Amino acid sequence: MKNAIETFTLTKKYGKSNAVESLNMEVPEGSIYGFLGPNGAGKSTTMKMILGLVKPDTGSVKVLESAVNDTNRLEILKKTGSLIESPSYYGHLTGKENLQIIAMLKGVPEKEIQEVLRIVRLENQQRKKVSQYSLGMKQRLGLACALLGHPQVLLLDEPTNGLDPAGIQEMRELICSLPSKYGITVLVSSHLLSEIDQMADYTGIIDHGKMIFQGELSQLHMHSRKKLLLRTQNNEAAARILQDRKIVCKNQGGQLILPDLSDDQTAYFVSVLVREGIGVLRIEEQQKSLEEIFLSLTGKQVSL
Amino acid sequence: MTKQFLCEWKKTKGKLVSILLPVLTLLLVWIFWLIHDPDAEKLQDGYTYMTSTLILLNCIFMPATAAVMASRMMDMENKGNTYKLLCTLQKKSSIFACKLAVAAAHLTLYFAIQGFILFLMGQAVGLTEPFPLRDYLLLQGVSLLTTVLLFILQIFFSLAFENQLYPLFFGLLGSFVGLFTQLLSPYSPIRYFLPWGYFAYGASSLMRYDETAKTAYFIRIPFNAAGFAVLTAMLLISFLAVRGYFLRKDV
Repeated sequence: MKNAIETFTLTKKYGKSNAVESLNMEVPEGSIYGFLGPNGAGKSTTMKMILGLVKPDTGSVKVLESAVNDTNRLEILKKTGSLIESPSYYGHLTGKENLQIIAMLKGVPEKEIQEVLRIVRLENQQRKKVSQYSLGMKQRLGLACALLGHPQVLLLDEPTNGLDPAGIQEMRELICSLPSKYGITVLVSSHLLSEIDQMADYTGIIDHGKMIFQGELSQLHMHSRKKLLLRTQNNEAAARILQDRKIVCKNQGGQLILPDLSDDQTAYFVSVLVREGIGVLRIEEQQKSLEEIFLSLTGKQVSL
Repeated sequence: MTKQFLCEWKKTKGKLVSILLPVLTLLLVWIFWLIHDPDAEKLQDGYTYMTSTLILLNCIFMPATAAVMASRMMDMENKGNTYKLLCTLQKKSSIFACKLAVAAAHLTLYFAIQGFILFLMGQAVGLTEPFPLRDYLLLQGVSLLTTVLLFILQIFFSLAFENQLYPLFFGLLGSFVGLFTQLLSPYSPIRYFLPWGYFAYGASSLMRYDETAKTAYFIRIPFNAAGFAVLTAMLLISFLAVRGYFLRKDV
């Protein structure tokens, strides 16, 4: 499979600290690539380096199989759209006038403006001054600007930041529809696993400027195996009984932690415990949190 | 470059006109009030009188006007976080060049209209002095270059300070400095260091006061070539320095 974006040992230092360190990223064509990491991990810097807004100290970037340099940067970027950090807009102009300016700079015919307004569902607000838009509407306008000119690649940095739940849902649906409807490759960053989980096919996790995981989302899910939490009237006795039946469990914090078991196995051990006279008080399924996945990937706790 | 210039023009959407139009109106009303009822002397050298008044008014009003223009042009980009989008569509150097070109185009129109209306005003009140076209062209040309220079300096202040009140404060301070320079001799070297007073380099005459006759009269002075050379050099240096600062600034 071809890659729409590739970075090779991309490095950027600010002062003595590495914002991004030897980062190799591969964004497969036609995919939604979720770029995940805590705040300050280097996501925005990486995206800015891909767009040439920040000059890398070392390393290189390929977009649509062309190595980006100072000479061809704007030519290559014509095939891309971007929404970095917060939406860019002129508050004193209407939504349509904002799009007219971007269309003019991109060399895109004006008739495309109505098309992108329809995609982001802003047709009815196009004559309103952008300063009167809600944050969600500004984000959608930012996306409309990015979509002008039928880009092949879209870079969206935290596009749901600051949106209310309905806005997040709307933006997510919009992003998810882009590869299938328009054949666009999307690189979307977030600090929320749940967000990436609902949108992406591929994911890359960055921490302290280093890529610590990259691959299909299903691979990441393997790291987030479920577990069962069990509380009984006598946890120690229950643990002994389960271990006698080769079920690994750990007594921790007043509950037993068991691996993810099938329904049949679960029904079996519950019946065994009841038969042995141990009352089962509570049993629940728990998915590994992102913090725990991060811990298993990096070996250190991180706040996401 | 043409489409980028047009985009920049479209972006301003009357923002610069709404600054320049009131200033133009105020200056013209001021000058009209001074000449509307001319005596014999004013009829004789009315246009020369208008040029000397215009220099003074430019020194007072144009530094603050340039400050507001620069502040508005830079602030609309800062407020809307637009640089990171613009820099994916055009070269950073072209963003700076287009801003300067649009401001210069507005100012060119401003000074051309101002000169033309002053000519009409003189005709309307029946000035007998022939219209000194060369003097007016020099004055308006120097005033244009000086205001562009002040605009560039104000862009620097607007970039350097996040709070746009500081650049406006510098603009107002510039007005006072400009006024102060009018007290200096036109050939004083101190003037070279005070760009807010460069408007005076466009003067073709000087007002003198006859103590005995208790009358003011004008003497012709040669074009201040040294002053003009300093203005041009400052313009070039400021352009390169502020452009460099703009290019180095992170998006």
